[in-house]
Amino acid sequence: MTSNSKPITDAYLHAYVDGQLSAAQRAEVEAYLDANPHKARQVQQYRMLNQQLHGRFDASMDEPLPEAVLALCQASAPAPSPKLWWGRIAAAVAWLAVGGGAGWLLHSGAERPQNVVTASAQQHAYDAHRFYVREGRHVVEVPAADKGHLMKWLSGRLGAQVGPADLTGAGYQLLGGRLLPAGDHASGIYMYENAQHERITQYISTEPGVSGISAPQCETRTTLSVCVWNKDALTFVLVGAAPPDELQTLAQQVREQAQRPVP
Amino acid sequence: MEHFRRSLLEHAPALRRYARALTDDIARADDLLQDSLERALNRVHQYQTGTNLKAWLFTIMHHLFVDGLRSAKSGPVLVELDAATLDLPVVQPTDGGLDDLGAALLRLPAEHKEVVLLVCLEGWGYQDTARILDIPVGTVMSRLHRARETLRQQIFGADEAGGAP
Repeated sequence: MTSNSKPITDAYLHAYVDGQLSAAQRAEVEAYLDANPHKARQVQQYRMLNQQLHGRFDASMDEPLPEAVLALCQASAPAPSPKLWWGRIAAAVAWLAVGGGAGWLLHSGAERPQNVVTASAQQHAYDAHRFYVREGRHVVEVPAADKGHLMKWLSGRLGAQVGPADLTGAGYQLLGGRLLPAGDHASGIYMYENAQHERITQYISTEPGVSGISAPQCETRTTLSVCVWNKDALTFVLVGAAPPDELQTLAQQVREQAQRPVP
Repeated sequence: MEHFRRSLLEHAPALRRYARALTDDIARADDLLQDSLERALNRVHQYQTGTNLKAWLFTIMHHLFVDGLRSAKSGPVLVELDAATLDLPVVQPTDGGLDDLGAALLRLPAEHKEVVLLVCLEGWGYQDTARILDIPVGTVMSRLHRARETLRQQIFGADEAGGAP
């Protein structure tokens, strides 16, 4: 390094690696690096770091986009609205038809096989909530008006007496419910709505996986809260946009009511 | 609107890569991608035609990512049910393999990780990165230096080159 050249700061070295310098500035840095092998190595390692980042994450750009994302971006699809959103529905129906759980299992299997089964009930509940929460008229298969029939029907398919909870104390009314496939297993949802039209989904499933969680455990998944617990052979999941502590309180209520014998 | 949707599709792969690198979790990354595109469609009226759409989309993803972290922190009982990220085994620096990089990224504070990924992986300039994250360019530079040095030393091992003042 010549004595009359101006000092090269770290910021300058980063800018050099990131292609933010003019040709003249680049020449200046290169002269400095020729004279300072340690700094040259540092710069080389920054470059290698960039390469490693690309090596690790670039492959994700070539993977086919999720169906739901494709549907969202389809030119013919209507704008997303809380009412009907056919692109999204079509994508989710396709997802269910492909075998529900299988898609999810394959999807994340490569990353963490040891957690796949544990995650599936929450994932199914999460997907079901996101899928149906936007529906207006068709949000449920059987409306709350037919509660007795709904309860009998879902209980029959789940092999256990499972009724909807009474969450009116917390401001949520039952909208109704529906039956869903969960791989080879059955699952059902009850959906509730409050005066602000915020909806929560109670998902009940016979799918194996989570076990031994007696008190609801909650986590945040992007914009939603997800609480999970077990009762006998069933897995219960509550999903909603409420903050996790609020959803936890609701989950406690659902759980306590489910402990009582169904009339 | 049709054109807007096509543009979303065009930028989706890069957004997905950024989401994947931020979360290191395939399912979460795809959720983040979908939520970001949904928000973009819902707020299309806020987008000013002629401005950088890709940067606007990255800004949306940044906000959703930060919101997710914030609500994850405020929860009373938070159990990582589908990610073993909190219990990562400590990986010793070896030969600069990808496992080292993954572990080092997970240890990086979110605000440093965002800067290093936007610049080094996504190729954003400092000005654009500053706009996406809504921070001064000087902050981008200082975070970039700290994040890059941390990663470099964890992956290649500390040496005199980085340690010199």
